[in-house]
Amino acid sequence: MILHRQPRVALGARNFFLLLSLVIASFAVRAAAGGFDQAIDRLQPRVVKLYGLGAGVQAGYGSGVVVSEDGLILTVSSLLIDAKVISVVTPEGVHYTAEIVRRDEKLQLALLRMTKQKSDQNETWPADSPSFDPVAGLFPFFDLACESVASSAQSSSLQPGDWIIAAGNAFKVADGPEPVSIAHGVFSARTRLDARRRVNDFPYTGEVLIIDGITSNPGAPGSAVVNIKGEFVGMIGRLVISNQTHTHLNYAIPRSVLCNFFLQAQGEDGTNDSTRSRESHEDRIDLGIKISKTGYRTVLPYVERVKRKSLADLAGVRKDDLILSINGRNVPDVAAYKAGLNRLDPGEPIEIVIRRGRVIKTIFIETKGP
Amino acid sequence: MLGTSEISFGQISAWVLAAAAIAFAPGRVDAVTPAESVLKAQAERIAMIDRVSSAVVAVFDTQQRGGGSGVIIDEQGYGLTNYHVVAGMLDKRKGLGGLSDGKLYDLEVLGIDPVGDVAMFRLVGRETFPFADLGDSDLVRVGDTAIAMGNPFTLSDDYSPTVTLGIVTGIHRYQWGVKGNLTYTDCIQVDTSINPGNSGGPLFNGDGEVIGVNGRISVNTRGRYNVGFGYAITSNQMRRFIPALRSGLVAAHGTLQATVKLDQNRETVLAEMLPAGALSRSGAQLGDRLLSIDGVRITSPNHFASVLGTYPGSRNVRVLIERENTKTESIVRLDPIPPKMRKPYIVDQEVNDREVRRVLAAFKGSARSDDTAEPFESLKWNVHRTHFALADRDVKADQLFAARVTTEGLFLTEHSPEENETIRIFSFDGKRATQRREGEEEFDLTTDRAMVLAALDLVFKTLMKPPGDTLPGNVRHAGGDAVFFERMKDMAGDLDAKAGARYLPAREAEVITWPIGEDAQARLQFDMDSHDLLRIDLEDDPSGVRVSLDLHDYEASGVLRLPKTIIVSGPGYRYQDSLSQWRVDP
Repeated sequence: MILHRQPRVALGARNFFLLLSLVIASFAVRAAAGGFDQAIDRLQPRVVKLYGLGAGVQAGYGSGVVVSEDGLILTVSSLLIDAKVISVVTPEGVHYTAEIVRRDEKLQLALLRMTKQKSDQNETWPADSPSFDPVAGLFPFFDLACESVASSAQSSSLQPGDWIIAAGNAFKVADGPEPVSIAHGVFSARTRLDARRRVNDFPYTGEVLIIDGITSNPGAPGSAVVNIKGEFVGMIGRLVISNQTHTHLNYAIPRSVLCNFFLQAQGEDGTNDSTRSRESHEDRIDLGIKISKTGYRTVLPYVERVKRKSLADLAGVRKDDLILSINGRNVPDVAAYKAGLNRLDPGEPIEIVIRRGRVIKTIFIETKGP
Repeated sequence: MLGTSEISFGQISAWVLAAAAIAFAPGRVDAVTPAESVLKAQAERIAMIDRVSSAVVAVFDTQQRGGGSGVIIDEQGYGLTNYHVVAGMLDKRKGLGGLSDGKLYDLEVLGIDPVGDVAMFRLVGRETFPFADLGDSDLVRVGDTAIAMGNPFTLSDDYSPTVTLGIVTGIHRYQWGVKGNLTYTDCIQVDTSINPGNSGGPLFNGDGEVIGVNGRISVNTRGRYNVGFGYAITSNQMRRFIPALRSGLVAAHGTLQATVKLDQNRETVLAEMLPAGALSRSGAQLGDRLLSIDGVRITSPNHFASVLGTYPGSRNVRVLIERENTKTESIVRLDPIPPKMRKPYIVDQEVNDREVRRVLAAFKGSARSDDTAEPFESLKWNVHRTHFALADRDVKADQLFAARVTTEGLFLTEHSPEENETIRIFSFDGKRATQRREGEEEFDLTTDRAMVLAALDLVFKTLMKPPGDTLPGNVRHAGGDAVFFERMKDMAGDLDAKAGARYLPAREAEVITWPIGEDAQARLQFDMDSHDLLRIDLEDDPSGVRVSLDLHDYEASGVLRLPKTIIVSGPGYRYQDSLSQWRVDP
C-alpha cells in the first residue's frame, strides 16, 4: 500500500497500469479513513483572503498562502497588490494590512508580510488576537520545507492521477470569518508553461502542475494546493490562456519554484520591490512616473506617483498631474501616453504638457542616452 | 461518512486511465482489475443513483420549451424546483414533467418563494410517484460527496437525468439576489458540475438523500457554464417553506427588523432596529448583543443575514440576547417581507382547500381512533391541579373541579370538589359567551375568556367531529410555523432553571386560520409529525386582545387522543390546567 510513493520510472505500459491499480487500492483505503477531510482541515486555516486594487475584469480580491508563523504570505504578483492598502483577512476574520516584501514579475509571484491589524481604535498588535502573538508568532502556516526541495531533484511525490485539493477565495464567496472555498481535482501532468494573458505573453515559462479541475477563476490565483494528505504541493498561478490550445489553463506553480522565490526573498529580507522589472514600455525610458490605472472605459493618464529623485521628479512632475501631451502629440488616454513614451528614443529631450488643477504647464525633461 | 467518501474515490480509476493514456499513449492497454473496495463503492453508488433517479423531473412549460429540473419528494407527486424555472409558467400554472420512465406528466405549479428561488409543483397522472427523501442539510460538511441530477442543456431525450459528481466545497454561503429576489442564503457550495438546465434539480448526498436544490452558479468571463462553483438551497431551509408552498401561497421571508454590527470584541450587537419591528417588540434594545438565533451562534453581520434568510415570515424563532451579562431568551415572531413581483400571485383556493382538508383530516385521524358518526355526546375531564400566574407573581392553587363538555346546550360546567355541586356554568352559543352561577344572573365573559371558550367549542364541536363535505368560508392554510413550548413547571412548581434553556425544542407545525365569531380569528397550529393540535392563538380584531392555548401531553383515552395539560396565556395572566382524566360519555 505504499507503492504510490515510489518514483515514476520507465515502466512498461503493462507494469505501469499494474502499479496504478495498486495506487487506486491505496486511495480507497485512505478514503475510508476520512476522504478529503484531513486535507481540508489543514488547508482552510492556512489560506487568507486578500483585498486590494481591482479594475475592469481584474478582481480586487484574491487569495494567499501563509508560509511563516510570523505572517508571510505567498501570492501572485498582480494589480491587486498595487493597492495603497493591501488588506488581509485571516480565517478567523481578523483584518490585517500587508506590505510587499518582494515581487517578481518574471515568476509573477509576490511575498507579502502582514503588518498590523486594521482597526480604528487599535493600531498595535491586538493583545487578544486569536491568531497572532507578535512574540510567539502563532499564524498557522504551510512549511515550504525548502531544504528538502533543494536536496532532491524530484520536488514532490505527486503522481499523475493523485487527488489534489485547492483552497482560496475565488469569486470572493467567503467573507470575514467564513472558510474559503475548496476545489478538488486530479493532478494530470507536469509541463512548462507556454501561455498568455490576453495579448501579452505570460512571462513565466517554468514548470507547472496541470490540474484536471477548474481553478481558473477570478480570485483563485494565490490559492493553496495540497495533496490528499494535506501536504503543500503548490499554489494556483495567475489566470492565463494556453498558447497551444487557446483555453484557460488550470494549473499550479509547484512548491520547488515557490521555494526558490521564497529563499531569495528571505535572503534579501527588507528590500522592497528589489527585482521589480516592468515589462511595459513605460519603463524603456524610466521617467519615474507611475500612471493611475483606475478609471472607467477611458483611463486618463493621471500621475499616481512620482519616484523620488527620478527624472520626472527633478523636472517637476507631481502626483495627480494630468498628462496632456508628449512632444506635441496629444495623449487622451493611458494607451496613447504609453505609445507616446514608446516612440521616444533614449536621449531625446521630452516636452510634456500637464494640467495641474486649473493650470496648464509645460515641463521639459532631459533624458540620458543609452 | 465512510461510505460516502469511498464513493467519490471510486471514480479515480477512469481519471487515472485517462491521464495515463494521455501521458503515455500506449498502443494497447490490458484490462485493469481495481481493488475490491473500489468496485464495491462503485456498485453502491450505481445502485443509489439508480434508486433516486426515478424521482428526478425534467421540467418544461406546456409547449415543452425551455427546461429545468425538479425532484419529487412524496408519493403524491409533490416536488421542488426553482422559482426561476416556473416563473414563465405562472400565467396558467401548468407545465410538463418528464420522468426517467420516459413519460411526460402534467405539472401543476403550486406555491412559490421568489426570494428563496424555490417553487413547489405537483405531477399528476399516476397513482403513486417515485420520490426521494429530504435529508438533514445541517449535517453536510465540506468535502462530502455531492451528486447533482437534472437535465442540463436539455440533453436527455428520454427524460432520464444527467448525473454529475463532486464534493461540497463550502457551507453557510450567502449569495446576493437580484432586487431582493433569488437570494441564496446559508446555501451549500459544490464543485459538482452545475449547468443551465440543472436549475431546480436535486443535490444528493452519498446516501441518496436530497440535501439541496441546485439553482445558481458563479460564472467568469467565459460564459454561463460550470466553473466549479455551484450553489444549492438547503433542504432544511426548504422544509420550513414547504407547508406554504404546498398550499399554493406566495411565501414571504422573515425579518427581525434589525441589523447588527461587530463591536470591538468582534461580538454582534444590535445596530439598528425598527421601533415596532419584531425584535423590538421582544424587548431587545440597541447595543444588546445578539448571541444566537434558534441556537445558531451569530458570528458576523453577513452570517446574521444568511441565517435569517432561511426563515419564512410570521414564523417563530428563538433569539438569545445579552445585556450587561444577563442573557435573555425569547420567542420572536418574524415580520414577513412580501416579495416584489411584477404581477400579484393570486392564491388558487382549490389548492389551498386541499391542504386545509388534508391537515384537518390528519388531526381527526390522530384525535379519534374510530370514525363513527357521533362518538360522544359529552366529554368530561377532571382538573386535578391548576397553576395560576398573575403578571410576575406566581399564585399556586390546587383545586379539584370537573368540567363537562357536551355537544349541545351547556358548554362547560365547573363543579365543586364534591362533584355534585355546580359552581359555574359557561356557555357559548356560537356568538356570545356567558357565565352563570347557580341562582345568579348570567353575564357576558370578557373578550379573552370568551375566545378561549370559542376555541374549545371549535375543537370539540367541529374539528373532532366526522369530516363534513364543506369547509366554512375563510378557513385557510397559512403555511408553517415553529411552536415553542416553555419548559413546564415541575410538580414543585419551580422552573427547571438548571436546564438553562427556557424553551423545549421547536415543533414544526402547519397553520390553519379559522374565523371565530365576527371579529376574532384563531390560528390553529398542528404538529407536522403527530398531527396533534399544539397551539391555538386567538386574536380579537377590534380590541387587539390576544389569548393563546397550549395543548400538551397528548394521551390516548378510550377512542380519543387528547391533551393532559392546557396552558392558557391571556393578557396579564397565565394558567396551567393539569387534567387527570378525560371521560367520554357515550
